[in-house]
Amino acid sequence: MAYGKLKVDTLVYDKSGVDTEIAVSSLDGIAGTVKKIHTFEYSSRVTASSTGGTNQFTWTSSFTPLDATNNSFIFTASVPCNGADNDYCGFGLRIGNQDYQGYGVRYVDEANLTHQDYHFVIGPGVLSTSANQSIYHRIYTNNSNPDFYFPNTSDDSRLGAQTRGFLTVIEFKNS
Amino acid sequence: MAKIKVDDLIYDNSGTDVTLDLTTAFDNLGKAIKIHHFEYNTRTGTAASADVNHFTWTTEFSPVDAANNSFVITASVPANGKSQDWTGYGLRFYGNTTKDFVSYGNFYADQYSGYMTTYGMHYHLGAGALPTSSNQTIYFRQYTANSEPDWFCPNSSDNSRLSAQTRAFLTITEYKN
Repeated sequence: MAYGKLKVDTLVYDKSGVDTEIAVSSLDGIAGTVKKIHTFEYSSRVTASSTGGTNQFTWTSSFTPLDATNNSFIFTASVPCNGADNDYCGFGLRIGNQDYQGYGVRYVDEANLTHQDYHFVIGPGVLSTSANQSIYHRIYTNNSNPDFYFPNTSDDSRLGAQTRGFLTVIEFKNS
Repeated sequence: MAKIKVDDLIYDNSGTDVTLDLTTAFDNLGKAIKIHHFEYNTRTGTAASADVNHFTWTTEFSPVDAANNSFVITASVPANGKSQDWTGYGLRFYGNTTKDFVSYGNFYADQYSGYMTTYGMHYHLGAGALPTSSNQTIYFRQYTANSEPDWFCPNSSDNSRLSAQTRAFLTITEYKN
């Protein structure tokens, strides 16, 4: 113990010339809502498969929740694609050994630039608690694919640069 | 400015001393430092040329600490399409340096002129990726020719089913894990 202990119920600090009080008890157990923001990026052009039950690409092989038993998770992604003119697509995320097909999916039928992404929430106690989980972008049914994920100027010069996809996982717990 | 060095605070809880260990008390504080948000809600015409700033989200973006914090950037931009098969667009941050993010996390789908579509985006940037100055300007920018729609933020003059002016939103969550 380098500095010792101080017995006090209230701290007073100067805020622009005004004494401002804060109860020490209010600092005990103080915690924010957002526990961690996990971020993953994919930036290579991928040739898609039309076969159902195929992991199309891997977002990560090292997703490690802080506390999947007690925290919740917001999954949001952007996945630009060169479309294959498929009217409907059955796709989603495989997280560890769990599947989230059709969860918050966003897709528009196109033969050119489109997207195949998602935004959804998973509550506490649902995800695996293990470390280093893989997260895959997966199609579950035949002909749910685009032609290419993450197209670039070889698809069309107007893209201007390699397109990039992002997966953000906000781990949180409300008070 | 008075200071005192102490490792523990002890406070009274209904007659019982409770010790607050300051070395660990704030470990679970929130990771989101600030949520910056901007709105654009004016029907805006476009140009077909490359390297055009179509509209300005803000001239007052001031990151708390761009050198050390990270950012999650998400935008919704409704549009009246122009049959563009492909588009190259993104955000330009203009401050003490200029940073461009073309085709970062874009979600767009080709639609005919007179049909509704979106020029959205979702991506994240690590520490040191953005300018560090205050009052930066953020542009919605087209980088390649013929990437534009007919209109951004269409309204009832485009179609009566848009019974209110459509609005675009940009949220930037500044955080540090």
